[in-house]
Amino acid sequence: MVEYQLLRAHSLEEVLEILAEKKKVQILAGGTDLLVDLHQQDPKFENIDYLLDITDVAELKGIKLGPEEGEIGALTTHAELLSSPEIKEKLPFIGAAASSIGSTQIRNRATIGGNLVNAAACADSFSPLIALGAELVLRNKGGARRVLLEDFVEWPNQTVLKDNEVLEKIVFKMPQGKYYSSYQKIGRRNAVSISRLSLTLLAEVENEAIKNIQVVSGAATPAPVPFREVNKYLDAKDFAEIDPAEAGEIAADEMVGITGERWSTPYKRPALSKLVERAVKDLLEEAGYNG
Amino acid sequence: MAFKHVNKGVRRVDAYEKVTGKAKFGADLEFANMLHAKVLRTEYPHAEIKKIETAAAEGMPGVKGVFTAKDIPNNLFGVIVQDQQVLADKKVLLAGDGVAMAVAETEAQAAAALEKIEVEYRELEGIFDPLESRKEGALKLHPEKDDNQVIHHPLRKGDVEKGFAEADVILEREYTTQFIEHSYLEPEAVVVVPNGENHLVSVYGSIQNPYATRNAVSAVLEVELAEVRVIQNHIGGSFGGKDEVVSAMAARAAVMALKTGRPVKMVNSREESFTESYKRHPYHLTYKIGATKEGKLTAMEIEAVADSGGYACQTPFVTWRSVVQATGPYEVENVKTDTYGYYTNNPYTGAMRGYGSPQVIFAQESLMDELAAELGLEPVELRKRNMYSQGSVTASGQKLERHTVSLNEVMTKAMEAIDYKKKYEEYSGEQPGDKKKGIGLSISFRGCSLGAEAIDAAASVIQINKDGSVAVYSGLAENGQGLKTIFSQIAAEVLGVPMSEVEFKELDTSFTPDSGSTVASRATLIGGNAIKDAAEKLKGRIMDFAADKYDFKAEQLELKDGFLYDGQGNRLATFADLTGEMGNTGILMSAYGWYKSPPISWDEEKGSGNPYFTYVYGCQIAEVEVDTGTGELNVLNMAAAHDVGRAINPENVKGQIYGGVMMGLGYGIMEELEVRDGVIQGTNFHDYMIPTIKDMPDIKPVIVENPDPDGPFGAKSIGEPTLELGSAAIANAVAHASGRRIRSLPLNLERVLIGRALHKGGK
Repeated sequence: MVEYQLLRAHSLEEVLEILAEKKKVQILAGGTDLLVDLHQQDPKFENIDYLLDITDVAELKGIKLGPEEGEIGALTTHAELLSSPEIKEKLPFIGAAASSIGSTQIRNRATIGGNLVNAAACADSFSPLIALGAELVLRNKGGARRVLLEDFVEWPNQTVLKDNEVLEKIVFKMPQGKYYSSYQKIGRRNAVSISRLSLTLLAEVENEAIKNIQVVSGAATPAPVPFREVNKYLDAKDFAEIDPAEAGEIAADEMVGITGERWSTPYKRPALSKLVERAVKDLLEEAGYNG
Repeated sequence: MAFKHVNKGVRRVDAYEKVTGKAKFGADLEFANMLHAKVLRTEYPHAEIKKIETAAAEGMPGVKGVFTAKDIPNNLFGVIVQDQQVLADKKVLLAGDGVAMAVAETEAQAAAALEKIEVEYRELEGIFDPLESRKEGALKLHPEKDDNQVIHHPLRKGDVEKGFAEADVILEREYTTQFIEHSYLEPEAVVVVPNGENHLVSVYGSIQNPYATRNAVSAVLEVELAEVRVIQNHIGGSFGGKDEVVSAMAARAAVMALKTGRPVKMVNSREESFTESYKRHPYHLTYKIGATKEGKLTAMEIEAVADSGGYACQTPFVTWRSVVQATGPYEVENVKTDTYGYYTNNPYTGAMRGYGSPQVIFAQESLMDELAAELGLEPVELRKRNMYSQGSVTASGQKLERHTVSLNEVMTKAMEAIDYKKKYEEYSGEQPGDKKKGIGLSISFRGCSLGAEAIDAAASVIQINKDGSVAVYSGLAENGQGLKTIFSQIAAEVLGVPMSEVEFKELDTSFTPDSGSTVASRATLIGGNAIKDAAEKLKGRIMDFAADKYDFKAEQLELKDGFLYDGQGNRLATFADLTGEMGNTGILMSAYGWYKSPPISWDEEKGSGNPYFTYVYGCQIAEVEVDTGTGELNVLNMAAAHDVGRAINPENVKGQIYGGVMMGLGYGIMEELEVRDGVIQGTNFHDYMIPTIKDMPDIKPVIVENPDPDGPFGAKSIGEPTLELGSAAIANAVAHASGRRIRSLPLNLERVLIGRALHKGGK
């Protein structure tokens, strides 16, 4: 039987106090994963003395997108992301990822911070944020530190967040100039579906050439990572030199290089290759390049 | 014929209590002094039970008793074969068999007690594939039997060797289907109250077939049927699923209720439900078909092997429906069909909406498209050249003449509804890009009701009270299909009263005669006739009385809208005054209704005869988009045309079509209960995928009406036909779109993209 005391914090300061004072605290945000696991008496909670409900903490909410930099509060829900006009205009791939998560009920409760801290291998929030080069602001009573999102997850469900820290917000540089983005997801059904694969592509474009590129996949590797080989292949390349199918092959090889041949590889190799090929092809088309 | 209540989309009579949350389901029931019980289930698919130690559990707080097989008076039950254990005695035969049960003041205390029960097993080698189970020398799972065969149904017609010799083209194909969970919204629940109202036990709960449950409880307790009362509650879905598994639960609760002298409640969690409930049969199907180059079928040779799991359950009858319908609705001179069921150590398999038809239709309607491609014919054309028409003779030698054979009509109407011809031509051409569209169809004939499975009769009781209100009781059960509404419409139609005067009562086995099980899409057809019979008996009495009283001939009089009319539009009396007066004069204002189906015949040795007295016909068409780059499959539109004889309630028929198409879509493209070495992988809906509203295509329901001479107001069946056609239509559409023929269900991402399934831990 999992037993714990429920605490509720009303400000960030209170959260940090509690985390500093008490040991064995589990933070509760949207609760869409946590409450299910608690209900099932998951043994991982046997070490918990306190459940700290932070859903009332206003400082952890909100979206701010400036000309140079942007930030998203950890408690921002997926519903807020997908209905934000700013996100839709400036970072549509973030909204697309948010809208692909779970169901309406889940999107209304679940937070982007919770998705990151829970760190499932198939979590849908990672790839778009990694593509942005996002950093996480992890705060404790003594102050804050910044961690690059791609370094945040050590292995599935295990992050570098310390016991006395809370994820405060996600910060990133806004893409500059002319840029193109896409988000794709493959699931086993059209809603309430866990990703079999997802892919974000974000590229800054100048003079019929790619200037900055980030191709990041979700659910392809144990922890979401940028595809360095694909990025290398595409980066600073003229459109004319790019073969989308080749980019797909490189990505697939890179995935298998990381995971090895797994039971799912015969499917994921061609499917990922196709997602990358499509993202690149769409980018070229949208940029007005037609061979 | 102009109807007043029948053939109208009247509101469901049980809608109000359901949408307002007032309806009480099994888990809502509370009785004074009630105890709660839980079952300890084994995780071994095959093991000998060496020892069960219960002393520690008995000493736990709140625990009133811990029981094992030795506490069960008669431990074996079953509707067809009595081989299912209430609690496993010497051996467990499947992972999920109950081995012990604890009853306590609270559910949590009962659950805590289970953890203190120690069971010592000796693991045994298991068989997890019916193709292994059938091999000579295979380990025998039920030692008292000759081998692992549950059943074999042969069917022989003509001479297949001759037929294949006449063929220009012969195709041989194998198809497989998967385990399916019923996925009813409400998990199983029962409460058993001991020694109440002159019954030894009263059983309440989520029960599909109250008489089957009564039979099981009485057999297990070794008491007379009259001592067991079963009252059905509102049920949150069943689809064939709340029969044996609920009977076992009721029998267990009854044993504990009698041991403790207190009411005992049992409610399964979703995980418990997945673990213990029976599933839809996976089939391994082998088809050989011969045709002339003109597209005339000359012979079919069919073998279907069903996985029965640990127990026989409904396998003998499920595979019987398969043997009757295995050729599909096609005239074939030479047929050799064999259907089999074998025991394995997998989850056991039983009744589920469709009942042995979805598997064979998936195979046989896929095969027809494959053959059409081989012959260079369009799928519709090949079907037209072979499908049943009025007077056709089936594989079992039955001449279809008593009812309207409407295959051409359902097919034509479904094609019109979805604009088939245009889309077929368009999608047959070159399609640029990875996303390809396709359209595919499937057709079926389906025997209505039980056929030669069992005596096919049902009862009803109608009481007219002194205020003119009408109470209707049926021996068949409302399982969500709309039976209460349909039967109320029929009673109101015959008696000429408004629907508001008709009160449909809960099924109580002590009140209504045994009407068999509410299965086989038989409720409207068989039960509806029984309602009509009772209502007509009462109407006869009323007319005789009125004719006498008002000095008219009975046939001049008319009952309508709650009034008696003289046939000239003049009201003579209200229904309430008239029937009240009859009651006061000492006339019996209650009647039993009874209906027994027309004769049928079956020769089990040859597989010949008239297995069903009537049939329904259906056609479903699916339009899909296949992403050939990722394996994603979207079903865009579906048309479903079904001949129902007569729609007693057209809105309800549409509801059945929408639900059945959706369930068939799940069966076709995503649902699969993964069972590895006898153990279910994932026992809740985050692992077991069922369609969401976003997966639902636009569905065009087409109701075709050719009134049947034996149906009440001409009505036949709709519940099951709606589910059986979708998977083949979708598979045919996918083949049309992508060129990839998939012969195994479901058509998931992997099969659509790379042509085979992948499984976690597999190679």
